[in-house]
Amino acid sequence: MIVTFKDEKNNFYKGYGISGQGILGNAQEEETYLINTKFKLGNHIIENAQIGTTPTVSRIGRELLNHGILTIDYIRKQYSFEKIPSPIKSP
Amino acid sequence: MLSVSLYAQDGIMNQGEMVSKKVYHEIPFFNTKDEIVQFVTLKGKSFKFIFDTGAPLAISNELQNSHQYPILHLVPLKDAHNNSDTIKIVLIDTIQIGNIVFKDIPAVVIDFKNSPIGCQNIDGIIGSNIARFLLVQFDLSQNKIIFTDQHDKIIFAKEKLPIILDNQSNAFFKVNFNDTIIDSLHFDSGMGKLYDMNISTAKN
Repeated sequence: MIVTFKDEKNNFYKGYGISGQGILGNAQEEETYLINTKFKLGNHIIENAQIGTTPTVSRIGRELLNHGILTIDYIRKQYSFEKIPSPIKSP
Repeated sequence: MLSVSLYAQDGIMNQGEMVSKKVYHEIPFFNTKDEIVQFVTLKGKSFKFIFDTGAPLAISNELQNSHQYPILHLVPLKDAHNNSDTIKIVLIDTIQIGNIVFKDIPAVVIDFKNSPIGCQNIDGIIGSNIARFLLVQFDLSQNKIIFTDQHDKIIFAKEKLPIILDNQSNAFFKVNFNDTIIDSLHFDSGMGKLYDMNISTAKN
């Protein structure tokens, strides 16, 4: 359970609590944010993105795949992202 | 959710090889809310794994107990929420995914049954130290994930951008906000959400 307040000016929520689970157990109680924003991946803008926070490295997850085709070329160390016209809604 | 990283010991997971050449394999993929399930073959038997680019190759305690893979190291490990433990790294002599055969790949041994994902009854994780041999295309619009080493089998977007592989072969790339704030992140197919930003970066 995370208690939050909304910062109307900057369009984010701040809270304190357990934000998730890892393979080794629950996260620690911690300060956490939920930010409503947009970001740019290559030449593509992902609109209406809800971004959480983590004490470890930043990560982008499977929900990105609702927005386009992601190709990761581990062999040549490059990636591409092709946005699809409208995001797919997973059931 | 399953993202894990090993402390120190650079390159410890990046051993072994993909012995198959000119490979092509498709994994069905219908829903980003569910883990990506793929069955693999170990010693002639099929086991349920999930594909998680935020973790290294991993097997369950039960699989290690039955197969007795040789232990390479005992190392500290932490997950995506900074929980830590000491785990075994073992050497998987052969693992097969579809028609693709990998040899001598290190794997971490995890107690999945007593973990938050115990109810999913998985036997292991296909992680980034397997993916590092491949081109991987995630195409939900076509309901498939492609594993291949043949560049002519994949239709790329025109724009290709660099990635940096860390010592666990996590693929890091950059996103930007308003052309001023840049975040370096890695794609974690084990995380169902869109984006978790490092809190220090978020505060900045």
